[in-house]
Amino acid sequence: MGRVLLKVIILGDSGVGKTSLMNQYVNKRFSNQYKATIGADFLTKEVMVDDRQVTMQLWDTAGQERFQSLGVAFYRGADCCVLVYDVNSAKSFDTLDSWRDEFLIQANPQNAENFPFVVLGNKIDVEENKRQVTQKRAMAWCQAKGSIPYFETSAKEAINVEQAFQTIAKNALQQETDVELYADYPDPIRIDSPGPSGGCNC
Amino acid sequence: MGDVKYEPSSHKPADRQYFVLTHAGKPVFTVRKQEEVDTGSDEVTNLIGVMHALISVFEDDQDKIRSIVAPPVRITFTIRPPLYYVCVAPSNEPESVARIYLEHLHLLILSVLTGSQLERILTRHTNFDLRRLLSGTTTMLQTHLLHLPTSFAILTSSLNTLRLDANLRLRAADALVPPPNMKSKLKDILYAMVVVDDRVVTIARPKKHTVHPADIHVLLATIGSPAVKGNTASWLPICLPKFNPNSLLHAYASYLTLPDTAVPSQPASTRQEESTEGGEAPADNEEGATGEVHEPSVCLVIVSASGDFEVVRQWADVATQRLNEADTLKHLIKAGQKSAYSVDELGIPGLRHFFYKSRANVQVTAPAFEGIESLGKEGEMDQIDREEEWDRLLALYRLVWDAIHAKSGQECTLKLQYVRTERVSVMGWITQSFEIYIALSPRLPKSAAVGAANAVVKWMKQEESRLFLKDAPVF
Repeated sequence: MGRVLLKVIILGDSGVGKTSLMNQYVNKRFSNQYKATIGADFLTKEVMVDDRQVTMQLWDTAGQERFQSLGVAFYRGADCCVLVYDVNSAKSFDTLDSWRDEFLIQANPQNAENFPFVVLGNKIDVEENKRQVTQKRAMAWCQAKGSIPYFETSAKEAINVEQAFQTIAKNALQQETDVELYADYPDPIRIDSPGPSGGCNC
Repeated sequence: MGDVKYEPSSHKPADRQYFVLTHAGKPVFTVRKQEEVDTGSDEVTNLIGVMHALISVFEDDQDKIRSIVAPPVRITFTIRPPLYYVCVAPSNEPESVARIYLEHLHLLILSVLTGSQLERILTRHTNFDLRRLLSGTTTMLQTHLLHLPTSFAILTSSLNTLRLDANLRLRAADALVPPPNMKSKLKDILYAMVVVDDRVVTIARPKKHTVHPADIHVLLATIGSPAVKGNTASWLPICLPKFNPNSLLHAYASYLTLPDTAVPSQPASTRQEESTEGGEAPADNEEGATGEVHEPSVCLVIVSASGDFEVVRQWADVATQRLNEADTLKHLIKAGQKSAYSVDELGIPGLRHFFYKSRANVQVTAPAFEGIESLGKEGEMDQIDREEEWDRLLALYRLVWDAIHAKSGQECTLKLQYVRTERVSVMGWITQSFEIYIALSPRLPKSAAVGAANAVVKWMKQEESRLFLKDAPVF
């Protein structure tokens, strides 16, 4: 069996640095190939989580108006959702709520209350007087939404990026394997009596 | 070999790649080209991600992506929520062929998981990694997919029947009819059959059930998988999707062996047609250049809706015993050794190969492939050339089959289609009662092709009782 694939969706306003964060983390040139046409692109990275090698597939959305909603098919079966805002933009912080709602509606995860989110406040490298959202405020929001892990990052200076994504991977894996805890399979073998008109003419 | 370079050469089974993913884009199963497998799993993940993105874009518009033609390949998508199937095949191969293979792959996966379980798991846990439930099945899927391109039965949705003496087939059928005292216990039986290798000898079934060829193919793939093949008794939960995609049935499979092969004391068996007691099978019909005597496997299969193993086993014991009476089993093994007949047997000038589907019986037959250009230089052709030739012929058959049935969006179906290449000409012809595809020397004129086809049909009529399973027992 191949490695576990963890599907991670990254959401947030345009310009908050979603793509830069991914690039910084994955350390590969970003293709942007599909983003232009379908509004989404992804990068993959092999990571070790608790001695397990997993493949993280990070889905980046375009963030522009036109692609704001990616649709059910993209979100389906995500293992973790990363919400990104720019600490120097109060507006990008205020929209986190709607990004979170958007995700929950579209992805419709089985266990919405415990679905793993991670919040990243990006661009902390910018000078302090430009900052519009305090760490305290952000943490309060995260706390209120069910203790969402929070990281302040700088994609540009590579601050906290590795740590943030390590947590993302860990929580995603948790979500992925959680399935087993309340698993209802393998199915007991069911012996449904076949219908009277079983089979078909061939 | 001739020095003419024949253009469309990329038809090898290995050139086909398959991808199965969940509706969340999680990989389920892949078959890839070897050289690309070596480049690592990162690449597969990326490919699957792109596939998922493409499918999703269409899905979000309530649309379905069908195929992408990007010569030299065509990428064909079959959407069977919650699973997505993708086949990468040569672009000169009809799209319909990839669809048949993907559909078949889907049925194989359903046979393990059932449609309802699949649906339930992936609705509740959209991110579920289905590989956990299929880990024991991937070998079967892989080996089976490799054989798909050589199967006329799967292409034409029919059964591949073992050629054998009609009386022998009848004896095998009789052995499968439940004894009167067991009948009431066996009300949950769907059918019982005897197969030699992957060819059906006979199928016995209760009146109320009909047999769908696709289910038989699923069953044959299952009993032919390495984990089952050769075992004296296996009891397998299996879903036969055309019968009921949502329920699990049970298949009892028993590979039969002669009771005492070493003991030569059988008093001179007078029933035998050829008295080759203790000797080897006549070698004249041996296929290929390997020279090995093929040891056919005979398998008794019983499909039951009930999980009562004991009832089925008891019946299987009775059937096995009856199959051993009058040396039936022994003769079946012999018939299996000789099942690959030669096209020379038909004595039709210029005829190199053919396959024939009896539409009434939903069965197909074909001689062994002995080469197209090998006439007059026996043994000169090496195995690789032979295989390439075979691949090319199969590709032509598929083209003609697709054209006749207008499977890939052609305007209308055809009655007759004739294709000639430098090395071979292939003609397909369909009537109410049969479909025939013949491969001929390209030097023969088209009119001779029609004559050859008629001659094959005539031979079929003569041989029908031996080639096909007719009047299968109903109980």
